[in-house]
Amino acid sequence: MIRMLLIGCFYQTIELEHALADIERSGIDRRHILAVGMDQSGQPAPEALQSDAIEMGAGWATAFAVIGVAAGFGLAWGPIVWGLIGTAAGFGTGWCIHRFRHRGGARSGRAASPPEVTVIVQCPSDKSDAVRSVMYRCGALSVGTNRGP
Amino acid sequence: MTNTLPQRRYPMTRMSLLGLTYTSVPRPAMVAWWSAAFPGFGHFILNQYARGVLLTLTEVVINKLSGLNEAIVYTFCGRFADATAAVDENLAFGYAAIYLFAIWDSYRSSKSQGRLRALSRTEPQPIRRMLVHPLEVQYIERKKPQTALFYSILFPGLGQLFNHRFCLAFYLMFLWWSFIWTSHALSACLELLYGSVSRSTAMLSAHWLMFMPSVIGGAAYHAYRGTNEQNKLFREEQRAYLEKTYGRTEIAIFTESG
Repeated sequence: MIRMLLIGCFYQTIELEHALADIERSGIDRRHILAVGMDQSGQPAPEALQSDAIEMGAGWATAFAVIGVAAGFGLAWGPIVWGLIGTAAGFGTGWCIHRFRHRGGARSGRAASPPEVTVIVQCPSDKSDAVRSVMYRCGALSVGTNRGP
Repeated sequence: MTNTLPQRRYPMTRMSLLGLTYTSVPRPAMVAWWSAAFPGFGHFILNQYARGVLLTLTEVVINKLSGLNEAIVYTFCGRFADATAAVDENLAFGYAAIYLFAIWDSYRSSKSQGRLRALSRTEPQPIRRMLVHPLEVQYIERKKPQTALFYSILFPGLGQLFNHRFCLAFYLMFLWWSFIWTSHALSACLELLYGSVSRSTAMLSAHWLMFMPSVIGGAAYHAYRGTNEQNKLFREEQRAYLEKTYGRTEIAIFTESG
């Protein structure tokens, strides 16, 4: 019997755990499954201070909205319109400040989020189709097959 | 059963009936700003919910009694004499003291929590995935933070409900209902669309309307950030599980040759 290698790329979701459970249920021993979490280059540490453009936008939008509402009571268009204008202007300001500060850092143009886990399964060739279809059904981004050693 | 586990000096997360509570590492300046927008909201971001709720209630009551929001509106409209007359001088000093303390305390706590969390990294600890409680089923899941933001803007509190923080969710919804009710914001919006601007402005209660931007902004920020934090904890927990369960393997990729 030829032993094959199946390699699947996944995001970290609950479906991934379904995939691994289904592969085990199909008769593959746990010792023949390997799952490796992948790190991205330049990924900040979990403790690193972070705020993204939306967070900055929300902060500034609130500040400008408060001013817009307060000043709007004395202006022709009233507090609601000025509050909304303030919200939009504030969000734009916060968004731009964040983008300006982080330009050249973590690129926004980077390829859409890369896979987070690689799963390698060693299985007899008659089971490879079943394992592959489990992987695809449970959200694998891509699956590769190797005829084994 | 949990009593038999050794107590860690620096626990990082705790799952309970009320949802997932964790030490948080937000930017101190951001936390200080949310405290300034609405005292208590900075503490919500730091997962200090009890004192956050008490601070927001203090803010609503004392602001109402002292007439501060009216004074802010007069100030921004250039009517400084009216602003001075609107404030109750008996309450102004205490209000300012509590307001400034809330800003400073949340700024300081944000830094402390960052240090505590860094220390909890030195003692590896499991993150609880799920809790079945007689009243609730609580669990960590991976979700889109934009969804939390969207529902918070639709109605503040829904983003927290999305994040399984149901008590805070209903507290924020209660605040928002009372502000809609007392400020007449929605009927003023309709008047603005179908009637005249001056009648719409006359309908509004300046005092109650002034609370609303901070509540909706703070709730949206808290929900968005909360989803992101829970996603990180979900990934961390899952990676530890995968490492433990599928990390030791007998797969031979290369044939051994002697």
